[in-house]
Amino acid sequence: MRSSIQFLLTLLAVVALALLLRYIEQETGQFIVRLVALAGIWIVASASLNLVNGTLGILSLGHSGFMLLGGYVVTILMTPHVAKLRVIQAPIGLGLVSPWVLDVNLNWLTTNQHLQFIICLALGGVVAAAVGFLVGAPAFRLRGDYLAIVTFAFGEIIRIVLEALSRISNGPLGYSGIPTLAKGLWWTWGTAGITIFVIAQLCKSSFGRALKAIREDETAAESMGINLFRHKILALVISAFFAGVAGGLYASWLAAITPGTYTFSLTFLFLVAIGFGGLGSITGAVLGALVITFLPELLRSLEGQQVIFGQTVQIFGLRQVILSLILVLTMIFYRRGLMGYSEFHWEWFTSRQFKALFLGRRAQVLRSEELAQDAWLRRSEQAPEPKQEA
Amino acid sequence: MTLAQFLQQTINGLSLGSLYALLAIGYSMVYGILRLINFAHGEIFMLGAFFAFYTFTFTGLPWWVAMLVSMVLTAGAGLLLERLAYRPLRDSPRTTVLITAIAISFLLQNAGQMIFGAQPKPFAPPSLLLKPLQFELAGNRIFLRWTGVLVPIITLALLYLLTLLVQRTRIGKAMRAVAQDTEVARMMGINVNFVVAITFVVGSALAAAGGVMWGMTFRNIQPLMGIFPGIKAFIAAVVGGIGSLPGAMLGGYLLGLAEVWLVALLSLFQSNAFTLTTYRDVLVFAILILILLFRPHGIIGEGTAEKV
Repeated sequence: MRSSIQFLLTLLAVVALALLLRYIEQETGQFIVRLVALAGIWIVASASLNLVNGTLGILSLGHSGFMLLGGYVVTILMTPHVAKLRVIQAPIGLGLVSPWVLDVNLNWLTTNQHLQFIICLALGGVVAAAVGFLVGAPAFRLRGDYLAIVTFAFGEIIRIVLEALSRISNGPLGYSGIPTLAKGLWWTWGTAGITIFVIAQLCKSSFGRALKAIREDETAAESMGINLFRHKILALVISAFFAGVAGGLYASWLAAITPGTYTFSLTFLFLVAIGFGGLGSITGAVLGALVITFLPELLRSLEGQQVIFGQTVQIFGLRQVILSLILVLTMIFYRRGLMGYSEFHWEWFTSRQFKALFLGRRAQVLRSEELAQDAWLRRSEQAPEPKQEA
Repeated sequence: MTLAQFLQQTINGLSLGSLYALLAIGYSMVYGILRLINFAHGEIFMLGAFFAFYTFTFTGLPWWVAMLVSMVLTAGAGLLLERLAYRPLRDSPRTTVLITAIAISFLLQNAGQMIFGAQPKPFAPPSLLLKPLQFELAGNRIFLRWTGVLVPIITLALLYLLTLLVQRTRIGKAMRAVAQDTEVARMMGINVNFVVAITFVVGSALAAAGGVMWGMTFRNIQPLMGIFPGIKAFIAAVVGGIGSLPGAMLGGYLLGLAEVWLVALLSLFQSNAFTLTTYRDVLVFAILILILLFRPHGIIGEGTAEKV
């Protein structure tokens, strides 16, 4: 298909999505709007986690720490003075927050809330990216499993240290009264669009191909002249940047922030999303993000009192169980996830498989071809990996 | 700090270190054989505590019988975990297995909350063990509980049995062979799957013992109790040199002592309990990061070069 047609189709799809969002915002209730807004935030977080965990193939488990940093930047710069005072003067408040934290804001720059929000999100991203660099610089001296553990430890350290710095963070209580700009769909989905665009372009570029080369075989990639350390750390910094942005949006969406919200379970949620969607595919990350947003809400009705075989039982925590189960089952039985490494592409609709599936053309011939291809793929997949010594 | 305080803290540290050591061995054995970080090990530990709790709540058996029953049941759970989740992934990329392990860990935490309830349950050791033990040393009184003394003793006995198993028996020899080189061990006629299963059984049973003793020491148990001990025990295994059993024991005790001593030292300067526990966790993570950066093979472990 010609690229100009593809471009037109993409444009049409974006317009259609915008119309859909507009319809949701105007015609549905507040609950749905909030949920759809959250989906946008989760897309940002999942797509950015996917850049390191999927495209680069290195498990980075400190995502929630980066998100927390972004969240706090937005909180401290955007929350009005009155709201901050109310929080620290509450009966249970610690009252330890430094005066400058109460006074700092962006009003000297611009009084436009939306402009302020953009600046804060970007700043939150930059702070998270800087910490990402500090985390990655020592951590990338390690390989494989150790790296996963160290990033996990750093993620927890970020949270624990911020919680302990109660002069800035107000301790475990955090803040509330953050302006809720991210409740609107345009903020979250707009950011999601930008994130997807940037990360997709990155993955297409030589940088992205280098990351994939590192994923397939580090030693081979290095011998082809790829600077391992530089590529890995750049990927982590970019991922941390978008994580910071997502964290800022999330803080604004919740209108409150506590360090306890940004634990490892948040990272795990995105791990479910990208694992289910297919590690290494942006399309998969988006689909996975939609699943982790909407599935728990669909399952909500199952919680609470249920009658099973004539017995009344209390069910709580079922949603988390099902999310974990999804990830376990995907990993064991369908490791590629929904998308594998492949991305959405307009040429899907002109591919022979698609025609055979939906237009019934030469279906039989194609079926056998497909089976052969599948068998071949499965064989190469099952070939044992070369052993790596730690 | 007086000598008496120091001694008291040291005994506390040994008691905590014993629990870390019991858990660390599970991580280390599995890593040595499968090169897999069994993230769910902390949850196995939690299951051990709960099995014991339900055993003596429903049957009223003495605590040491409940502990043995729990060790058997937990070993079964470990076996099931290996069979259902890890064996199908034996030849998958490491990332996939690691994600599965994390997911299993979350699954067990949440299933635990669903089934056992999220409320902490009182875990009462027999009254005999709760009696305070006090004696005088250089003019200072030392207060201990019997559990604090009993835990290191039971642990050392279990560790001795484990060493016998690994060093003196046929299956122990097979375990060492598989850890050294799985392929060659298989060629020599060793049933690798059986060895892996036994590894999980032994590791889980020790974790269960740790869980029961953790419950007796801290007197309550809840479904999320495995997270932090699990992480710290893993760190202990790394500190000692993952894959090495003496390393895991040493790492466990070192970490336990370091943690308790640090808190004792800090409490001289600061009385804010919240900050104390905070620094405690940061310290443990900092130890991990430093060890990994400067001595990734741990104190005892030997480094292996990356083979292409």
